Amino acid sequence: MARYFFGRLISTIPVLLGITLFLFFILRALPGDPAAVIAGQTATDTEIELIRHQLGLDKPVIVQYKIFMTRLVMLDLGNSTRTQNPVIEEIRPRLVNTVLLALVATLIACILGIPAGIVAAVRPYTWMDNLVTILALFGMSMPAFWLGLMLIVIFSVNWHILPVGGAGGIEYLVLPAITLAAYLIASIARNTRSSMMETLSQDYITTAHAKGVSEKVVIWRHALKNSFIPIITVIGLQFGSLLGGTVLTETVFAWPGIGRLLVSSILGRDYPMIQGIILVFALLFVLTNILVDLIYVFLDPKVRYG
Amino acid sequence: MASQNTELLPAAEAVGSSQWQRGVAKLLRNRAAVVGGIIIVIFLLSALFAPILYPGNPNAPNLIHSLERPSASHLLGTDQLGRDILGRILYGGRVSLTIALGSVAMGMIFGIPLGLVSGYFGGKTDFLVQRLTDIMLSFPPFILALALVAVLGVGLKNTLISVGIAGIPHTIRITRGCVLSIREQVYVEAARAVGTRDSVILVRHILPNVMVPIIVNSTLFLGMAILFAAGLGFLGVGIQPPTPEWGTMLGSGRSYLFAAPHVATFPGIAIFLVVLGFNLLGDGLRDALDPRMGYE
Amino acid sequence: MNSDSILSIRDLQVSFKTFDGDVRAVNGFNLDIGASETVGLVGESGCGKSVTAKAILGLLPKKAAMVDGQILFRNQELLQLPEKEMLRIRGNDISMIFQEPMTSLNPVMKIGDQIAEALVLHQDLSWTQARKKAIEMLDRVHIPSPEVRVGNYPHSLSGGMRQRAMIAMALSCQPALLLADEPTTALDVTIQAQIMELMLQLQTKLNTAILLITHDLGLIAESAERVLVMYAGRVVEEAMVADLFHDPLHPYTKGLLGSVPVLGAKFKSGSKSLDEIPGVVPSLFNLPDGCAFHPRCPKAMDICRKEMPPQTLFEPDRKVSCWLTTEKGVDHDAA
Repeated sequence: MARYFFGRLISTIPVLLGITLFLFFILRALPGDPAAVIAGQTATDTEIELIRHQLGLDKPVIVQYKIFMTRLVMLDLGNSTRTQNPVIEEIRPRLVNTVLLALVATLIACILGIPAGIVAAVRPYTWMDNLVTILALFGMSMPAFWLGLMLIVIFSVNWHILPVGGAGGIEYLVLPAITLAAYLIASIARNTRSSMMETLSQDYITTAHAKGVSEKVVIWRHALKNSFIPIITVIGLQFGSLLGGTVLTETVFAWPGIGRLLVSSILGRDYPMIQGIILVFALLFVLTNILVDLIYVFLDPKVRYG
Repeated sequence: MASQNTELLPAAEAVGSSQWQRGVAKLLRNRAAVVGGIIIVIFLLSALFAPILYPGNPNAPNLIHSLERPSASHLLGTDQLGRDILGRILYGGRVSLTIALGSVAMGMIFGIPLGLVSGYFGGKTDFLVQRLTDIMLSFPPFILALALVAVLGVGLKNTLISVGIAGIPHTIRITRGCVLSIREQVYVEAARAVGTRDSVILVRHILPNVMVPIIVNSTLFLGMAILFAAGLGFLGVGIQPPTPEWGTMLGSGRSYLFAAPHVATFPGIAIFLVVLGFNLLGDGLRDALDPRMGYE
Repeated sequence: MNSDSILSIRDLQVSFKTFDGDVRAVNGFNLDIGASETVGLVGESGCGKSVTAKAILGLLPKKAAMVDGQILFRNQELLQLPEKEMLRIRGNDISMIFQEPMTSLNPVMKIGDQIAEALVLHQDLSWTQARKKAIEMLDRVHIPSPEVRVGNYPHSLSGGMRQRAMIAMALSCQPALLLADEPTTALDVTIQAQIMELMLQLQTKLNTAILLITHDLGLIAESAERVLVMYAGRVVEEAMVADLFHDPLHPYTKGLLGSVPVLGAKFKSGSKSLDEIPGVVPSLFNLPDGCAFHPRCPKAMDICRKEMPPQTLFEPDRKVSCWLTTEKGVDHDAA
């Protein structure tokens, strides 16, 4: 098992390298001159040249990449062009907030989505199933940022129970987490339903019934573990959407995370920051996928025991 | 007198026209899918006939009537510049339609050939394409679109390109997966044994079978594209005002959330309904055309 | 009801509701099994044998299946029994084993636990005690190194061993009746013989009756005492095994036996190809009127096309559903 874990870690290195390459060249492909942007509208050509030299933009691309990678390994992502602080320093505190939001959202999604899916699968084509299916479809079609705004209108404007935005105690976390979780709840519910239905149609479920096992125990002891594997896979696949969703949700609720920082960086043309945040997002995603793989291995005895 | 029920042998090989007919029949029986289809048709028609349904310039400001609640003269009210929201939503439909179709088309134009070649020929091409796809898929999709927008800039064209590119890796994966499973089928081997050229095999045998999952996924992706474009618009890095795009409208309406919530509400409902329509239709297509053709 | 039968089925009817209408899978099925008897139920795929077995245990989907008739087990009417009572009977008084050992065992649950589960449920043992007993059961079904195997997952066992584990699971609570649905069909021929031998051995030791469901006539000939031939949801002939093979009365049975290849045999028709029954099994959506077999029967008469022949008792231990026999009496030499 440990060997598998290390093997996976090692195989991600080329991907990570590829990501840095991709980002590096993409951001250098911009139409426009970052030096000119940073220098400002009234700068003279000499001043622009100076800034360009300062940023090392006048060196050959390969050399730039080498410098970039060397600095990256030492966790030096450059400085924000707006605040002049190291990118890492700006990201660090906000990263915690985003991760917190993402985890809470995932938790909510599992707590609500999995039981809903199970109920729908065990009583297919009844009103319970139809309700779950419809709600799930709604959840997947709803723009998260719109949902967030509507929740604000209802809970903050009209009823005054929850704050509009920002951070603080738990009450600030509620609406953003629910908004972020909406799509994932729907996704999990649908996948749990289809996964459970597939499992329940398997022969070994009939065997269990033939043994005299009651329906509740069949679901709990026999069906669930088999259904979990596809569910975990879905959570892993959808985590990317979740991360993307943080950008929108944090903006709506003024949640101080890296998603919101990314937006302001894009609007402010803060390229080192943009690069840094996107790298962090990609890294988070890759790590989550490895984690999901590990859980998968743990759940499937065929892989575990060979 | 006796009913001679001869067992029909399973239909061989490629998707024939009869399979399409059966699929359509099954689709029409699915009420949810039909509802989705109706929504989409309404959407298409309203987008096409927007100038007739709302004569006049939807972008022209009319400050005297700013932020009016829904009334007889303005069925959905007016926004902060006094513009009729219903009219803007209708015209916004055209924008959304353009983006949806454009980005999905991009995904298909680039994704299908790459997937075909990568899956069919294997070897170094496959390795290269796969690694590239892996890297692109390591980014959360919306973040990828954001990064592209950061590079390319804002506006309709760039939004279309960004969303389109964000969808290419997924299309490649689906196509390639489908190709891999078809490639091993006996009829492909037979064609090769007879000496058919690879290009002909690809076009005549493999491509038609690939189209089935592609169509299902593309329908779902149409909805996704609209969501992405709206998200970019909402953040202010997508389609720029005064062009009416539903997400952009939501974004500008956000500041007036307390005083005039209808400005933000109605564009959101529009997005929701259209995406719902595509999802219903896409789900129905998937159930109708064969649930086991290698989806993700 | 036969005084020494433990299971007595009368006029069992099973229909399924489908999108395209109702399907009659079982159409008037009768059966008696005595204690420790081995009864064979033979027929082609789709004739309703598995459905019958599942109906006995109440395993058919409650919403889609309509079950009617009488199933008496030790004087209890199973079809009227509340679910709680049925749970006590399943795996305990009546057990079932299935055709595909590959898919019939839970892939993420240890073999020992799957066997122990029945014991914990029905014999009030703790899990530790039950697991110990599971090792005993594995030993009884001749699985080598049972103490090791008990902690294995199904995928580490071969097909034959999996079927043995299934048998261990089914017989762990010493049921009075074992329903064996094609137990050896998915196994290699050599393993088949071993498994059947094992089953019959255990049957003698535990006094279990067996309903052996199969399409394999050879299996019936070797293992069963009595046999029922099923076609399109009905029993067309019932006899002691020797009688059936020497002297089949129903045209379908004759056709079945005639189509079995025998080394070096000369066929009555003089041809060198296998005799087959012309036509195909009718679709259950569209059963013919009268006797379901008449479209394929070489001796079909007018009445066969109109009315379904009743199951009639000729001679002790001999039942046939055929107008031929009913009208003409038992005709031992009919070709």
